[in-house]
Amino acid sequence: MAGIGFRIEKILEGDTYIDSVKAHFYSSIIFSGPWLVSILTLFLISFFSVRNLHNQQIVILRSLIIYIYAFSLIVTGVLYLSASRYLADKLYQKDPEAFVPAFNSLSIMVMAIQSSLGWFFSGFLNVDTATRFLVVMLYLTISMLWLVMIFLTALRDYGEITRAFVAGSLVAVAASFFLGNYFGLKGYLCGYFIGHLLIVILLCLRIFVEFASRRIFDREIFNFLLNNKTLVATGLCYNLGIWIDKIVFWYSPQAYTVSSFLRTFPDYESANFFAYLTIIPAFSIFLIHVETEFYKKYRLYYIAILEKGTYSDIRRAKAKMISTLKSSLLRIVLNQGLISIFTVFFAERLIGMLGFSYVIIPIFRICVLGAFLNCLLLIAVLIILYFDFKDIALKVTFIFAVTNGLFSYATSFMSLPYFGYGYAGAAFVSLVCAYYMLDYKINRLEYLTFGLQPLGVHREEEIA
Amino acid sequence: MLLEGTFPYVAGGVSTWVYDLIRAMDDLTFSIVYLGAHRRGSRKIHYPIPKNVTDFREIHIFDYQMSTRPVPRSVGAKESGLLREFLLDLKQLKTSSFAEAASLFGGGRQAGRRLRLEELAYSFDIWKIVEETYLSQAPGVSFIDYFWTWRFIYLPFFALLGVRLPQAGVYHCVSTGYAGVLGALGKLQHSRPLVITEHGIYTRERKIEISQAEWIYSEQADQIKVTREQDFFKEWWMGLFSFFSRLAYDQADEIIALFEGNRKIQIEEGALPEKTRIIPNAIDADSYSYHERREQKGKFRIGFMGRVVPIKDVKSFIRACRIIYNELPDIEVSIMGPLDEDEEYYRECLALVEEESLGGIVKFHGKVNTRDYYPGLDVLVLTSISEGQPIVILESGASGIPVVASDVGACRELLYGSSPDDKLIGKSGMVTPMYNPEATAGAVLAILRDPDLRARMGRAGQKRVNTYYRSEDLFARYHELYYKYSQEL
Repeated sequence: MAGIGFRIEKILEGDTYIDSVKAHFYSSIIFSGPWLVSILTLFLISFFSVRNLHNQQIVILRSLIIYIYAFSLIVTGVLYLSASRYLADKLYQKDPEAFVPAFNSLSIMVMAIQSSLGWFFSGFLNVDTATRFLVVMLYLTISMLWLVMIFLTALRDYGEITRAFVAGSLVAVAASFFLGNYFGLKGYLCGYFIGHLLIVILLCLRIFVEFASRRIFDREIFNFLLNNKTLVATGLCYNLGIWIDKIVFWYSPQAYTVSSFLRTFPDYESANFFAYLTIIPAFSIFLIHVETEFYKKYRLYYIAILEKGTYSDIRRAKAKMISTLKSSLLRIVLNQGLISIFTVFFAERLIGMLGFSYVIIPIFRICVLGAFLNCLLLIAVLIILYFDFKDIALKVTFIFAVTNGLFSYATSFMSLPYFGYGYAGAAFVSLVCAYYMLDYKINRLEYLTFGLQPLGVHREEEIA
Repeated sequence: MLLEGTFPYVAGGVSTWVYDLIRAMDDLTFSIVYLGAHRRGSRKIHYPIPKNVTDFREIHIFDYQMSTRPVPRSVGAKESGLLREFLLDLKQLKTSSFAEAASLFGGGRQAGRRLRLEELAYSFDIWKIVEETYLSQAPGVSFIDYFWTWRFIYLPFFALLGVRLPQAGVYHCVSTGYAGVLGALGKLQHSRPLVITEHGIYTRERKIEISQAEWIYSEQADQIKVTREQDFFKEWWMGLFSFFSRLAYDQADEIIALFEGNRKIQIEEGALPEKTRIIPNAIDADSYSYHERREQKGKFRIGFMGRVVPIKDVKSFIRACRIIYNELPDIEVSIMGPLDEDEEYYRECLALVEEESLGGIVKFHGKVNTRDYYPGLDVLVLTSISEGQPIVILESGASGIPVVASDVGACRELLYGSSPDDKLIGKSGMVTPMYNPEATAGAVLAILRDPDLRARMGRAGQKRVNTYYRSEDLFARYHELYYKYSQEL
């Protein structure tokens, strides 16, 4: 028997893996980005549409846009984690040529699914063909927008995304307002469509210019999706979880029908959407902190292993990583806690300033609390994904989707002040679950890092 | 019969021994379990399988069947306790918990396993054991290396402990090591006696290999640490093999060495003296034609039989030839043995021949049928730095050729005799210190210059082989052993 040399695959292969994890992490930012973007544009549209649309038309426009956002996000959500991880893998394999073919293949898939869904459901709307056409086009454009964002987030090209969004949104608002003067609802839809199409085109160009590729399509990505069902399901559950309470309320007795299956419950929607905006600070703190502090410690942990550290070196690196994580979380809880408490306290004044109905104040208050918990939940899921604990990421998002649906359904039979409790309760329960699951896993982190390494190893020499 | 890395896939002395032994026992039937490293190794069968081999199985130590997808499962507290105890015992070379440990893996007295390999590889409870053993045995070494070494050392071993052996009257291992582990399992499972024959000494051979092994490590600034860690991992492997031998010796009913020197080492390695005995190698002496040496006419012919590899120290032989040539220019040197096993070394030997200007004198014949070459030799030389009981000395003896051999392995007893009666036969050659071309040359010159001495040594060699090293005797003794133990209830 000569020396036993071993090559350990993937996780312990070297820095490149850590880089790819970093990419995985960034790609999961997409979890929250689109959601915030949609809320912001929605506010903008609502703000301007008052000037040249009838009340009824505003309600239809709002409902259409919310439905478009909700369902485009839920459907493309299946790709959020899976596709972005595929792209991260490709990046760390130094194969950026794979981007364009993967993008083409996924675009075709998304377009095929979304146009069948879009054409099918829009058939139930009581609108003329031109409106129906615009609605479907907008639906497809927004779906494509989420897809493009997956690709650009994988590239961490936030600057480009922001610029395209600013330009596109300005065009959307201006065109909507301008066309709305002449064509009413259709004009708004058309303007909105043009603006978003511009964003999609700008971002697509960016991808195509940056990553010229000889290949056109990529079948491998479909196999990847099939082999990573956990990530696909996590993406779906997460977006479903975010929207399910709204959907439940739309079909509750308090909501009213806008047109055909379009229903709306403005009090709950506005309170909920607006509450969401309050968690932006927490999210920025987390991003900045993860980038600087936690990521460094995370990397040191793996370096301790790879550089043949002793077990106590590894434990020490882990302890440092955990304490950094804890202090980051504490900072978020404190800062965001202050902001949320402040918001709850001044809820009346804020709502008044923005011109919302005072009826929504109790919902808004509990939704702010819910959003606070939800943002901690989101951060927990991101940390879970950072450690690549795919199974608990799925469990947590699934729990959130189910509890949010059930609790909201239960509260929808109560009176108005209780409406937000379903959402907040679900976020709380899921957060507690996420905490315990993550804690359990992190306690066993060394085991999970080593003990579950598959034995797919090459022995360089043998026993003779 | 439990064979590790020999018959029928590997050609060599041990394999030939096994082949001849099985064929000689035509009234017995054999089940053979062959142990190899990997399936993808050499698949060429070098020996026909004799008719009385009724069952042939192969086990590849490092190709154990196991799912590569991690499936964490929990292991019972009792099982992990047993395993913990077994691993501690293993470190201390205690074999008392072996029977119970074997039952964990499926190789116990009763069939049925309590631990699956997947559990051993991936479960949290086993991880705790790895963690504990690391902290108690080697808290200073690289954990990642420790972890993978743990897996590579123990998982194949645990897999092997799940083997169910075919029923047999007696189990015979032709080495210790992994084959010895199987022998111990056979005895445990079927309560039948275990006989071990060691041609070399397994642990010693492994030790040489391990210490020469180059360990692949990534660069590290702290070179001293690397060396220390390498020592740790090397000792770990050596400890495993020592445990294997200890286990086989403890379970064995009879431990056979080829010669006294090895028997002593076996006792040092933990074999009980009363279990040990010596059954030397043997040859079919009658098939060698004995030549009364001719009177010297023409050139002296010096022979070297062995593979051209460093362990045979061909270079010392070539240097000795140069010294002999200075004194007696009338010589012819034949080196007979495969040249392709270490081509680098062969090229170095060729260069040395040139350097010593022995171009026309020393000839490399490559692999030959040795039998045809003995009649043409006046003296045979062996300069090996390590030997067991070299067959060429027996063959030379049977052919009446004096031998000059380095003082390793059984060379001394083969040339000077071992028992008092044997010694009375007289010397059939000379032993010289190894790595000593002058001494070798001196001995060769003494023999070549004295025709009477040559004749005396030739006769003594023939008598010694005919008295003590006849294959009929060897077969008879094993036959007797097999009968004795397979009758035993």
